[in-house]
Amino acid sequence: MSDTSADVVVVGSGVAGGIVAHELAKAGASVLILEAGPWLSRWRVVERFRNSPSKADYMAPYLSQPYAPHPEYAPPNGYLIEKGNVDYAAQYIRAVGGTTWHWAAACWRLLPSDFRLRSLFDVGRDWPFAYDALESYYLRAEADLGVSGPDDVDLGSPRSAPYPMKQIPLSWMDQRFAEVLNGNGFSVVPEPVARNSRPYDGRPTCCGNNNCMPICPIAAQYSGEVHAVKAMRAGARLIASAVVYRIEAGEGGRIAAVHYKDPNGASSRVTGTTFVLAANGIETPKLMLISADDRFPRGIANSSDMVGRNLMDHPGTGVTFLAGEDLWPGRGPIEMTSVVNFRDGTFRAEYAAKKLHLSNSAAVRKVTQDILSRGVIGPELEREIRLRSARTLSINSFHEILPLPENRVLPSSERRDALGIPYPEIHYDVDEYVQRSAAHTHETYAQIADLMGGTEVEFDDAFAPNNHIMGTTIMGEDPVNSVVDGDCRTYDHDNLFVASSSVMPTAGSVNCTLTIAALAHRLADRLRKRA
Amino acid sequence: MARRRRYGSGGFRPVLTLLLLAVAGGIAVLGVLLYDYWRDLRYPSQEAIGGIVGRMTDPEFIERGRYLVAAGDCAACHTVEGGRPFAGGRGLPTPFGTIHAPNITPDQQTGIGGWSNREFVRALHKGLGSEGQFLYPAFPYTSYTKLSLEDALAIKAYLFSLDPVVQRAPPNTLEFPFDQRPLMAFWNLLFLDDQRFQPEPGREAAWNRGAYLVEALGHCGDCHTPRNLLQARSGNKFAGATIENWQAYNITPADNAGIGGWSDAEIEHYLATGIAPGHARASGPMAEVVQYSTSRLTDDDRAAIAAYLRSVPAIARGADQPRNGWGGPAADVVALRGTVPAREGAAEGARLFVGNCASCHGWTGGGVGAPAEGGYPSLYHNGNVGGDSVSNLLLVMLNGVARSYGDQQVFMPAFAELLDDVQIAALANYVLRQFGDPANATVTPEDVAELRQTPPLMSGQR
Repeated sequence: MSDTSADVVVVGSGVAGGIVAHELAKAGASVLILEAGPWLSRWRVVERFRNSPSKADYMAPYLSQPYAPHPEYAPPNGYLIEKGNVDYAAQYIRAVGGTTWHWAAACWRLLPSDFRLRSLFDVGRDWPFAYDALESYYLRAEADLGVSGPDDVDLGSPRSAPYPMKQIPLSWMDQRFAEVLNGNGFSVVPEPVARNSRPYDGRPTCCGNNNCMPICPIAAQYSGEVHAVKAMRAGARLIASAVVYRIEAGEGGRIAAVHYKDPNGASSRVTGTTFVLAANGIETPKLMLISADDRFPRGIANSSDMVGRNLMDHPGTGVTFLAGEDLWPGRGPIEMTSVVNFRDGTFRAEYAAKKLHLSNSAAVRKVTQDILSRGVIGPELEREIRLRSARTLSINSFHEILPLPENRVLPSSERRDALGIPYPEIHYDVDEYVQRSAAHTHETYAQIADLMGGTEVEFDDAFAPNNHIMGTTIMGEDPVNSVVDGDCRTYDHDNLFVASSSVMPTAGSVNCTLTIAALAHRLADRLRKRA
Repeated sequence: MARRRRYGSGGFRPVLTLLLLAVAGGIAVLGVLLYDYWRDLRYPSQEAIGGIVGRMTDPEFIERGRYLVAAGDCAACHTVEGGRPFAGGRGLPTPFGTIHAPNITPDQQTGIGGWSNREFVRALHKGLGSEGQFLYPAFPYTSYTKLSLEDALAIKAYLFSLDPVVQRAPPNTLEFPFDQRPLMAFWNLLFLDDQRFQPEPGREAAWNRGAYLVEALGHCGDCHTPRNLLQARSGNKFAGATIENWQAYNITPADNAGIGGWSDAEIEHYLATGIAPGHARASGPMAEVVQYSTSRLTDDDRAAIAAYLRSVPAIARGADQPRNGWGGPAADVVALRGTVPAREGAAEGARLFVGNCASCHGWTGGGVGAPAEGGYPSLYHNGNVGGDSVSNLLLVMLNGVARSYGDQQVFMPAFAELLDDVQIAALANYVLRQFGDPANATVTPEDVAELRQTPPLMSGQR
């Protein structure tokens, strides 16, 4: 067993860990990042994607490692052991840079009301602080990730400065969609995205490869690797393929060390002054729970029994239809506009807020598969491919799920990975608060299809996962029902912090990455002041 | 024997005579040099300057200076990567060591704030510093000597209108004997043509303006004209040269080797934007020249430069097709589709191309969105790929491109940290075979390693 040490030990090198490490390394701290997965090389991921027959499976180009598995779905590797009524089926990537290797780069801020769900609507929880306390960190996060967004549209989250880059020009389809819906009482807005509308931070302008997921082939889209590398340039050390499997509490409950294994199973102990867990909303609580010892039999930071609980996502439903005109989805990035008029309102006392978004993924592959499977050949095949590629519209949704203690992550007692570390076991269900909203979403889809001259309307009402893993080390003012306080510090361990969407007390109805980055900046600020 | 007899028969008198003549000649040369130096120290006369100094605080005169400073691209050398403009410090490697460009902001201690008008003009025209020391011709005074007295003082008026920056340039690292500044007197005797620009009466005004911009201010020859062993510009004016590992292309009107195939409008467009559609796109030091200098000139001045360049003697240098005449579309992505790539192992050029380049430059290499100016250019029929030196291609692959003009930005990411020397070499050889001159596809990892040492440009690129 070899020993190493640092002022700040960060577990995980995604957006959250990368930003905390970068900020603290810049401030002169000795920082060590432990990343369970390997380094990836973008061009090899691109190559695997281009050559893969399973183009729709965003995990396919990212190889799960036996020593640090992550979920795979084509074919399924069963890494997430589903025990609930609804499959959680999250995708995430264990590699340097984390899951932002594949995302649509949506960089929404939460709404001020998302921070006060309990006070305003008597459901869910309140955050320990208000939107205003996070605004300046949102701003920094937007500069860090490089966000292109609309400056002439009110997105409902007050901003103190313009977006770093102007918005990416909308595709014809997105323009038409906005035009039709906005004329009929909807609010369709351009989506702010961490994707370059001009050269930014040494990365090029988006040129519309239209495969943001599973991989932006040119790094026009931000990925967490950016800050892992920046942290290293600022002096941080990063050990890849270092799977942390134990958090060791010492004197007075303070964390003394973390232990990691290399791919061969050799163990190392890392001591430090401050520990930051940034290993996502499934691996972080799992690590806390498997670190149980005699003094902390429920696991690290778990006196509240809330570690792993309150698991949230944005359960989605969808609709696909043939529009009444040629709109040619697929020009530009895969998602550009959202319907935002259901994100807030008094209805939130009764049913879930939601955001709907129009897919701009090219439909050619899917419609071709469908037509071929119907046995169509010859000139009709080409005609049909053309027609359906030009007119197939697909809309999806994010519903706000409430933090429910029964939705939870546990270390599996059945299956372990190559290093002997338990797989995650998921207990997940979608309650009536979401179901009532989904029923309204279904009606709304029908209305939108009608407005767009839609035919062959197909609803997909089954709740689909959206990989926004939140709530499992929940933040709150009361240590009885919260894992971390308003500074993202664990109540049970003075020097253990969490940088992750797992601290979020409410999910809102938007992608959580920008909030992760803003919280990471806020945490880095707190840690700098402590030092 | 015959030879000895010839010497012997004359005795040693002729030898002595030669020796005496040599000594006398040496003394005469020294005398001339000393006289020149004495005279240069008193240059220019107060009378000559007197009529102009009154205008040096006049905003219009300062504005004229600002324009001339852009035309002369002073910022290129006198600004360090990411630093304050004109505050100096940039290292200019020469075969004899590194020379650091000084701070030319008006700071009294570290800049040129203490320089008199005479000292400033003397530096531009004679290559002498404020204390009378000889300057090195890394500072292009052999070009600036052609500047008119008025323009020289306008440049000073502008520089003195800037905020002073306190920043001292690092000392030069020249080897003996090149660190002996007085030796430059001999060099100047040979290579400094101490003349102000004289318009050719038989030529149009635009041509004369172009000649002045190219020869005096733009100092184009300092990069584009090959240098001799003593680092003076040779007779092959504008025939192309290598400077800091970058190939400065032939800009004579030769059809294939030079820019004879470009229209005037294309030359002007290139100077304005860095893009001559179908011919060339600026990268490296020329990208900086476009960004900081030629894009900031008036249309008339760019037209004047084009008119003058058209008229210089064409130097063909054996090129039998233009550098944008090579290569054709690739189809390797079709062959690779559906194959299972090796998880590690040898990185073949075609795989590297498809994985790293094709997403912007197109799967055929034919570009995406080009020739629109923000678009990503074709790799075949591409002047940088087809050039006879592969260093520009390699430096662009390693360090990318970052230039702007107006509010347009042209950018290619750097691959220096993403690919190793073996991969860069394999990729470059694929690109050269497919899109360039296949005879050049001989790049070795060692070549790549060497080019990684190229000094950075002002933009922070190498």
